[in-house]
Amino acid sequence: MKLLVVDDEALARERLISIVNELDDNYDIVGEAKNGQQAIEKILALQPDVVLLDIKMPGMNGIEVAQHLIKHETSPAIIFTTAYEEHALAAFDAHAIAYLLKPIQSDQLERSLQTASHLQQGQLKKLSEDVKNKRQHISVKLRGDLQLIPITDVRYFRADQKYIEMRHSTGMALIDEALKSLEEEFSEEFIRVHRNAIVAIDYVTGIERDSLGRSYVLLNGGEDKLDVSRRHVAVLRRLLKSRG
Amino acid sequence: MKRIKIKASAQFSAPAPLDGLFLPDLCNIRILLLVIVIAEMLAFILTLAGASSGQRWQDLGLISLFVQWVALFSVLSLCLMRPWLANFNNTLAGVISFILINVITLVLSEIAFSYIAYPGLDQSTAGHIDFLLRNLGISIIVSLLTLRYFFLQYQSSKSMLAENTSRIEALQSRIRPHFLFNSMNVIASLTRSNPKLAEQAIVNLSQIFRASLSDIKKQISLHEEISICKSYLQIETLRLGERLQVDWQIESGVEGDMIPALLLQPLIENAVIHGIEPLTEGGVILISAQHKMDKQTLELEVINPCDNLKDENKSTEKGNKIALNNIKQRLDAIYKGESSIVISQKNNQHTVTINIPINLLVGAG
Repeated sequence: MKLLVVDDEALARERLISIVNELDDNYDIVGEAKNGQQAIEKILALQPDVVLLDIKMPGMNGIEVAQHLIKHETSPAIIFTTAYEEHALAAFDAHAIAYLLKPIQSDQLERSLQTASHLQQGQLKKLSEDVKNKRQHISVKLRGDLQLIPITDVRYFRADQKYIEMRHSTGMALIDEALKSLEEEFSEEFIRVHRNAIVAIDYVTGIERDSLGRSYVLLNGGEDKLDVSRRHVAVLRRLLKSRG
Repeated sequence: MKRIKIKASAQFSAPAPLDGLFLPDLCNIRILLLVIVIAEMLAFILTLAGASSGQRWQDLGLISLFVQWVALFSVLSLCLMRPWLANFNNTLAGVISFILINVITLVLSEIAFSYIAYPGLDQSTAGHIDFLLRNLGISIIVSLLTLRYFFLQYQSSKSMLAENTSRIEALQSRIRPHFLFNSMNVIASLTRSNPKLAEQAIVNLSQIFRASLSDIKKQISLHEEISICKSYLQIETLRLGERLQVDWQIESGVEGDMIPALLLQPLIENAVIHGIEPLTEGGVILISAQHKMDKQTLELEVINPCDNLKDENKSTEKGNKIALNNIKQRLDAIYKGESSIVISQKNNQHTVTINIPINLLVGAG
């Protein structure tokens, strides 16, 4: 069984590796990663069966890593590790998601490895809601690869039939998510302008009205222009006004 | 007459409902039992106080019957009405309960008067009114006492709860579970690979906890405080590796100043947790101590990088504030307005500056 160890602390990785090496020979550590981005790269490259994933990491935390991976066809089983997470643990229990408390005990690790199973998207979604985890990236599948777009680069999400069109600083991508849940997750950064679209508040530069009375929101000085439905105009104007 | 369900909750402390209503859980069987016992005692008192002699047993029977009626009806109605009463504030709920109990008394008195032929009872209109008013009078007094008692009981249990919560918080702020478990994890790892370093980490950890658990009013020299901070930073360096860099700028001549124990360490801990840990590449914490020009003031400063873009989650912010408030309160208590603590944030740098009067003479507490 191929294992990948992910933790931002070198000593924590070291200890996990030495514990695993003392278990029987079935377990083979194929690599380690010290942050979320690296974890995703290594998982895609090394295709481990199980990932021991630290929750608290700088940049992208463990829960977000799992959220991006789960959409991938060959996602590994995940066992979270954590030193002390007060409220989060109840949520893990509630959704039957495997986790180990650090310092990790050898026999518990072995038991978890034996029963490690793949996370279900629903489980993870509920967990993430319960612990109010907010992704910092949106993952995009690109020719079998996983590309991560920082949420701060995203200008808008627009529903287009089956998919969501995501416009970001360097291009456009189609993602398979629900506009409603994106709106809820990023309610602080994004605002709804239309039944089919939410836009990044930071990129909004103005509102424009054409001769037919239709309103448009301008993003990034007019580089992007989206319809605004009548009932969202007022909220948008208030927002612009409050920003001066 | 009256019911006195109250005392019940005091003696048999039934689990207090969590809806914020001051009444105890009157649906609780133990409380009901106690109400019956206490109502019976009231019946005894009324019988003993009664004027008629020769037929006390008969009196007791009738009075008991009546008092039990009132008590049980009151308890039952309040029990059933609880979910509804919980919608009101306690004053309003109290007034409603009061009116309810007395209405029950009046109604039952009227029924009793009409259907029970009590020998010594004056059956005239005046006698009727007198009977109702006497019962109502007793009921008003007893229900007021009872409700007041419930309220006091509720308040004291509430303040006890608040006190316990704040004690736990105070204890946690001293033990700092995150730090403890992280350190244990580091030590567990080191005991395999580097026992000497593990030993050092344990010694450092003991020093920190000894300081944390000592009297918070204690004053120590800046030199000692710095030594505690260095122990702390050594442990965090084991954990965070190169991500954690520290730049000490301690002016010569300041290390003998006395300061409240653990003034600097929590600031540095905040800097590590909220400044360094969220950064993938880490950063530098700048710690400085110097005398101000006037030679009256010691200035301590901790500067850490911070990433404004992702303001992490609100919970870390909260933890940060708790530590700072705690320090502020301690400074106010010790220096009575002669100290200051200033927090500023710009250019992705978070700065905490503390000014306290230089005091070489305040001995260790």
